[in-house]
Amino acid sequence: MRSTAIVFFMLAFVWQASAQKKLNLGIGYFGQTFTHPGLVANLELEKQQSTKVATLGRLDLGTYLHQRNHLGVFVDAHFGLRRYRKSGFFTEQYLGIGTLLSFYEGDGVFAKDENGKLRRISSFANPDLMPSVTLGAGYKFKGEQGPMIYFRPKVYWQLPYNNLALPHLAVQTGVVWNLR
Amino acid sequence: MKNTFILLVLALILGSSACEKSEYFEDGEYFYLKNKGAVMPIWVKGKVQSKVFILTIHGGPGASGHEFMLSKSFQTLEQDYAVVYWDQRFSGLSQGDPKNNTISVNQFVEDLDQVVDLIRQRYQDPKIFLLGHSWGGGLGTAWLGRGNNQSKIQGWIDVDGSKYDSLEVQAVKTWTLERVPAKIAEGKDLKFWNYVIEWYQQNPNPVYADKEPYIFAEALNTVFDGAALADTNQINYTKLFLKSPFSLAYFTNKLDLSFVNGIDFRPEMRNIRIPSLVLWGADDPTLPLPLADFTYRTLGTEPAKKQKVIFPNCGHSPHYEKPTAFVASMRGFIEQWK
Repeated sequence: MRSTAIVFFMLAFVWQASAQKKLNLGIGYFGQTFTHPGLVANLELEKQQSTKVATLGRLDLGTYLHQRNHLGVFVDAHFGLRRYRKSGFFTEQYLGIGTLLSFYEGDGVFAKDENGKLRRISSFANPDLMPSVTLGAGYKFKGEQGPMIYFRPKVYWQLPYNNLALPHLAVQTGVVWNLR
Repeated sequence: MKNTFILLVLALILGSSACEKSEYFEDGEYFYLKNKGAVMPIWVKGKVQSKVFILTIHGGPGASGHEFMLSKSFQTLEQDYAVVYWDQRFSGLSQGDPKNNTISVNQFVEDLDQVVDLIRQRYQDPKIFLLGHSWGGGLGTAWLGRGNNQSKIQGWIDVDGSKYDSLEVQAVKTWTLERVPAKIAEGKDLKFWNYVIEWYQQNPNPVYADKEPYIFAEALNTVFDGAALADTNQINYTKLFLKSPFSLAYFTNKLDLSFVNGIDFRPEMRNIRIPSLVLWGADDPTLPLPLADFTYRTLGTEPAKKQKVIFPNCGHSPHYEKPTAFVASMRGFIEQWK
């Protein structure tokens, strides 16, 4: 089910690529709960629908460290809209889905082995499903290929987690360059 | 050039915020016990070199051991002893994805057994005092009274602990219904207080998982002064939210409480022989005072080795509400039996 969803979105991403007008590359700070630091790289395919509106497919690859909780590595695909204003400011919104790989972070994970001895084990958790909702605002500097800066609050869910989904809050801010 | 400068300033602001130090990331050791799908955090803080450990068992079920860590009482005790804060499965900051069929008293007892073994193994057999609050008092009792588990423990501290469901819900009922007429005589919230009487008429034998008795009792709690307690136990919530192990799991982790309906740990209580300290709030609405006498009487520990301390003008959580007296009682007991 999880793999099917990811493949579906990857295919949609490729489809979007075939109609794209611009290819953008971004890099930024990823702060889980704002201050648990990380990095995120974005590859965007942007199709201009009018002078003001563009549709986007974006693939994010990132990592962050929530000390004494977990280290996260994620890849997720997003689809959304960006609305430009004459001043250069823009707003955007996305729905996304991907995979979050997490590692328990601290001074070790211990479990009983088959002989009943407590031993240190791998800190790798599980590959979890990661749906998300992202809003954003930014500014496009002048020039056809001028860079853009963005600020993107994001809510993503980690599931399954204690029979439910665990919501995470994050902010992202960074720069996007137009490649072609 | 200007753009680069703006970006550099933004990066510096974020970088400095993310790199700010926090004692929540530095103090003590923070590790995990993985068992039957649950990955339970264990935080060991304080004076480890004392070789005297207080292993805390939180209440709920479903609360968090990390809450103890935030109270003035345990912060004070950390100056002399090591304190172990453990979050049970489906509780607090516990991680993993255990199956619902692991929600049972026996599973919680097994988890506690492994926590004790892990502490003994990792810190070379320290002297352990086990402390259980509310549901933790029941869980600690259930573990201590089985097999030879109590041989691993120096002393048992039961803080307003829950061990015998049917007696406790009746005690809460009595405590509540004794006070409702005075509330009705005040003439305020008559609809609510009449509903309390009506609810008990329709539910004469409530069980542990029923929420109403605890809502009613809390509404009658006259000793809880939130503002004063917040002043006593000062917590920097911003730092806690932004620079600590805390996550939204604290709010989203939930478990079905029906597994504790009908608990009866009297056999285990009678099996306990180690030194024991019973600490209770005189005005506890959740587990009223007569249960302190019941606990003291039923414990198998000989009278010379058990003690009961009642905190006047105190509700369900003496460690939070009466930190000075609580610490004094703890210190006296630990120093006597360590």
